[in-house]
Amino acid sequence: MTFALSRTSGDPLQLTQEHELLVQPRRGGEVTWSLDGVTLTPAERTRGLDAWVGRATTEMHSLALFTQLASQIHLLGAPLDWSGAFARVIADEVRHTDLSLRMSALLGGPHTVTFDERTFHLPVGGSLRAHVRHTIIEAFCIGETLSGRMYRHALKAATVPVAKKAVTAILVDETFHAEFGWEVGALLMRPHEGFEAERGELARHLPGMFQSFARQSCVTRGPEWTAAQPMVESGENLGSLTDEGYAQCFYAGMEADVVPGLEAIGFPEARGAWQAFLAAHPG
Amino acid sequence: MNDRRLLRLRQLAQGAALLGAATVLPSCETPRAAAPTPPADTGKPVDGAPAPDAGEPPFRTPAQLNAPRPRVTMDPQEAKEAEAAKAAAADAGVAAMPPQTGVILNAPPNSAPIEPVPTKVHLNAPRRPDAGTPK
Repeated sequence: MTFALSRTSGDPLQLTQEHELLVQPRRGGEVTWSLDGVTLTPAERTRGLDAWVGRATTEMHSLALFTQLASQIHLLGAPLDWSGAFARVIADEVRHTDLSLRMSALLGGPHTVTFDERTFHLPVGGSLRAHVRHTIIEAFCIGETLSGRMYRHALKAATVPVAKKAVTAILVDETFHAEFGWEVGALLMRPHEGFEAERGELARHLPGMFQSFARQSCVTRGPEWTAAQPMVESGENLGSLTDEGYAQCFYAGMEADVVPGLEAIGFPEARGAWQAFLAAHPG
Repeated sequence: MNDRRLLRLRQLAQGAALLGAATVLPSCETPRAAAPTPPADTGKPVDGAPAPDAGEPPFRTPAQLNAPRPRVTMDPQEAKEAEAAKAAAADAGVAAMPPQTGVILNAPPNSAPIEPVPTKVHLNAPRRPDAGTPK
């Protein structure tokens, strides 16, 4: 089933008021939803709109996945501080989806985004602990780490005040998400009965994860060629990078953060998987 | 990631295990069996909780609500039926479908399109056997 996600229910409700409070940026002050004084070419507006509609989609997916994960850690007997931190992460994803939808609307784009609910949750097979570990490492240690780097560069690129504010709000949260993910990921790597088999199975998935995130990060060629391409388009910028700019963030983030981090928490295989990836993407 | 942070992660990963609860969800291994019909609310105590005094209103006290519940175990016939349902799902190609990455990265607008990810919640929904990217 597909449905169109809208920001609010449409009536003056207390739940809407609460939502409006929650989606305020945690730092950096309120966003002034205006393009006053900004002149955008059609190409600049389209680039920005593509970025923000895409973000509304991916942030909503994060919201759904992290909410599923939050309920799963309860079943594992995780300490309560995991739940507290997850509650923030979920609130953050609500904020990001909301900001993205508002940016889309401000730029004359859609006020809603369509989803297929079957894409929201990941199937669980076998050990729930292994599944949660796998998802945390994939979504947080890799995904949130890479997207945090992308948002850092998107903030540098942004020239339009409203976009700067919105990107700042998301970047503050994403930075925490990556840190949270590495901590929880490390805690989930503490050995228990049957751990080595689960660890080995996850390690076998690392090459596939790297490829999946490369694809999502618009990687088409090797790191040298990618690094030589422009990271941003010229002109006014609404907080987006070129495709090659996202790919640059992927390569830099994998080298500086993801691979060393995976090694540190107990995946020595990460280095070999990354070298194999680089060998398959020369130049 | 600087050396100090990497060292901290190493230390975190080498501590004592924190999670002690369930590691396997029964519903992940076999199709969920039909939930047993709850007993009619007679106002009597549940799950061995102390009986209310005569004249007490017919609802459960917080202590009764929090009383431990008996473990629910699947009887042999139910287990057999669950196995048969699992085999039928496998025949329909559900179990044979490769697992998918499914995790979607935030940010790039032009990255590969999002593909549907099957979930156990929708075991009955028809799905393309070639959907998604193997993990």
